[in-house]
Amino acid sequence: MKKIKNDITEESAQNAGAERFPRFDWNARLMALCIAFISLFGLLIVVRLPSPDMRALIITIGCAGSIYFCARLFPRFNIADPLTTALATFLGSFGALYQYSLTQTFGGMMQTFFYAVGLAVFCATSIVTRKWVLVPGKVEKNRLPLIGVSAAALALPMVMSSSRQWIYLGFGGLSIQPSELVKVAFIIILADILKDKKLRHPVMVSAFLIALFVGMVALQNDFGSALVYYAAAVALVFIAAPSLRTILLETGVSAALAFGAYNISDVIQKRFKIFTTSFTDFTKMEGQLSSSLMSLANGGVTGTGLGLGRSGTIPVYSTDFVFAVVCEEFGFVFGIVLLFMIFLLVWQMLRVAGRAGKRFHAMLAAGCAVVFGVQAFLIAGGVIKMIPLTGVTLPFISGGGSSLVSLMAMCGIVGGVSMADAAPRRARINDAGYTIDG
Amino acid sequence: MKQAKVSIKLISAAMAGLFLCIAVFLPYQIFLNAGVWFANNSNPLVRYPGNVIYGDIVDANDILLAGTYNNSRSYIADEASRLSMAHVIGDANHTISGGVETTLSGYLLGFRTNAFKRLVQSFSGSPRQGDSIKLSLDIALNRCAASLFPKGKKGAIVILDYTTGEIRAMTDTPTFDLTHSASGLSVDAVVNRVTERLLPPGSVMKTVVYAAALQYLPHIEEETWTCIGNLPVESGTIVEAGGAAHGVVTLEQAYTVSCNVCFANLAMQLGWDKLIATAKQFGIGDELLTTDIRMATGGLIWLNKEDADKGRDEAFYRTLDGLAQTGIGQAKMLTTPMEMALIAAAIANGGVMMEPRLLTYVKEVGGGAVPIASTVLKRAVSAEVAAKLKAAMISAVADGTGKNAKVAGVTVGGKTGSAEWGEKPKENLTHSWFTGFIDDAAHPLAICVVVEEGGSGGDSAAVIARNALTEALRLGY
Repeated sequence: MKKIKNDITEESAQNAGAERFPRFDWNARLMALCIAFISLFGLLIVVRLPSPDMRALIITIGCAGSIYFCARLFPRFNIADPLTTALATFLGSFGALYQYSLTQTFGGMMQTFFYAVGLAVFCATSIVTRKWVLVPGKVEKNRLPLIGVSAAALALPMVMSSSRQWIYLGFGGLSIQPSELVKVAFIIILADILKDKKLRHPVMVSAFLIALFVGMVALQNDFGSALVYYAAAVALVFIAAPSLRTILLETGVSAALAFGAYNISDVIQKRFKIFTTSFTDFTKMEGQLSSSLMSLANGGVTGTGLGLGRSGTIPVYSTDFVFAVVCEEFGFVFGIVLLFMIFLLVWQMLRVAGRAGKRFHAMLAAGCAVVFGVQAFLIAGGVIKMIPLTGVTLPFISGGGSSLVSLMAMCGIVGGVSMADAAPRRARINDAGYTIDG
Repeated sequence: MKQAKVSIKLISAAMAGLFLCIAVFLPYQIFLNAGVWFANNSNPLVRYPGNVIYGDIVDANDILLAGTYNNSRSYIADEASRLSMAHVIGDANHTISGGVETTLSGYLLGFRTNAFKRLVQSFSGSPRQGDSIKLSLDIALNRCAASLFPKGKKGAIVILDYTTGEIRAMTDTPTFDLTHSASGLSVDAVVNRVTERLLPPGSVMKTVVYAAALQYLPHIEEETWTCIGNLPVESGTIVEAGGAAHGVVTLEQAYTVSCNVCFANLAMQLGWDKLIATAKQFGIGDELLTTDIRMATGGLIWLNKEDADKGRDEAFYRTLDGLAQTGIGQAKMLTTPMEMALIAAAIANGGVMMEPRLLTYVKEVGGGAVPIASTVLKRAVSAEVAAKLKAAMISAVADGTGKNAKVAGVTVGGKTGSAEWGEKPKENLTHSWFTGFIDDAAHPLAICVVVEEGGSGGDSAAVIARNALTEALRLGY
């Protein structure tokens, strides 16, 4: 491989590489596959629903279009890398379409609406990340205000409304779940503190913050989210101080927390009790869980078919138990494939983290990945009675508005990190004349 | 940053591990349990299956028990047969939760049909056709067994093949006519007394105590007890039926004559934990996974709603008196006739308990008949213990309380029981129990008979058992 002089521009390097390794080819294929699937799926909904209507058609076209445009624009304008974009838009589209097919009313379009908002948030967060968050020093200066605003946001629902997790906005039954939105800020703040070389004991300081945030979320009785916050924190600490001592410390603290939480909260005890009841005797099992298992059985390998599942009979079902409904209508094989797509996104985010040049970048990306992965695991495992049920959402697919927006924001952060780290790589292309896998 | 990369690799591995957990657990659970999860009467897909033609149900001799004509369910013409099979078959509206219409609905509704055939069916536009099923039940035997109950008494009979677990007859009374709706009927008429009725077993429990003694007390067969007709315990007294004093007895002799003193003593020697463990070995207090029937679970200390209201837990009942009484099958102990039949079946089968089943063949719409294999439920006891128990049970029928169960031409083994019940036991007739088997490889039948308030076990249930087994042999089983 000849060394080429430094004044070769990025474009010609790209072109040189294109002869041997055409860039974006895999990504183009993935994008085409995603668009094809979403279009077909959408058409299936349009045709198979009892009253085929234009709304479903519009949503389908919109979603397929969004995958195409995002896949083309985001890498082009350095917003996010192609795989993250493709997976996020694919999952978001599937979620929008599926939620519509479950409810078939105007309300079913809420998910589509939030998906559209989410895309804008994705884009915006990515740019904001690159221009502001990743710029050294910006987050550090604003640490205290960030922490203050986040804590206040977490405290709001506890004082404002009766159900301690949501703030009701009134129009159209909209509600915001601050604990979802604050997740993003939490990851940024924590990563910032942990990377700080000027602090003597970053882990100790972060421990205080972790306790504060996790505690506040737990006070909201949202133990699933608290667990997700804690998991992200554990991952970040592990990246910041990777040593056996950290592992032991984290294990110890986790065990103590688990023990304490179990003994203090009777909600958790009740959940465990429900979990340990019989696996097969429905008279001893709690109603929603037995419904969920029935759905899994009804679905079998190939599923009952779109719309032929009986999810319509149980309203709450389509939010918490969406995974069971998907398995019922399309079979457990499809359910596992869907989970695989989510974990593929997690994997990609961790790859971005692995390629990052700085610890701060790596921690941001890894924190987002862990949130996605742990959430998906918690809800899928709970619904199939593998672990006790927790009230978290299946990423993108059962997302309420806040969850969807915050997950998109996290995709944006990862996108921003991936693009920020891609720039030095492209500079290295110029230097060495090699192409590297995009 | 280098070390951070290692952390990230570990985190990636952890995430992959999380995914794999679910990807492995989910198919495994569905493979294992989907049949049971599907076939229950709260599943809307079972209650309102849409456009489907229910499959037929035929008995062991291909006699049609239930079929679908003109979109409604019709049953065998003979009323006595229909009454005898009401709880086994279940009603078309799934009011009866344990009937074959519900537990085998996967087949009857066509959900277990080959996916390809279903696809073809759905394209042809015709309503989905469910598979027909063939049961091991013999309706003639069932009808005869039902006729043996004394008028006005409630009771249950189950006869099964202990080498395969196939149920030949399962009937109880009171019952109802399947051609009428099951809604609005009393609990008594609707409950399946074989599998769901929990009763104190009385002396049939001694079989379990015997097994526990053989397992946990060395040299117990060489010991003797002196029975003087009663045994004072802490605050109560164990008495023999009719005040009989059995004198000096060995373990097997005590079992043959059903000596309460000996077995109460044994129970106290063994203690709660060993008794409970042995009972669990036999399935009492242990949830048994059966696909064709729904079984209630008995227990040595069976807590009911009243106990829950008054906050009483197991510890409250673990007294010495309770222990002695449990040894003779009283106190807080409850079992179902099916559980006792399975115990007799396990003992006759060398200690191996087969899963009780009704489904023998699935007749697919295309014409093929798929046989369904027998499965082993568990190994209840070792072969040596089973052999000793078998000998004791044969002795109990040959010389002991079970004399009335003797059947000409074969060796019958069994145990009688006369269970006291209720707040004031002395004022009621006891429940009459008999559970046993035919010790013959050509006629491997196990039986359990209960007549509620039927009096003594030897007088009522054993006679019914004799007649039922005679009929079974006559029919060729």
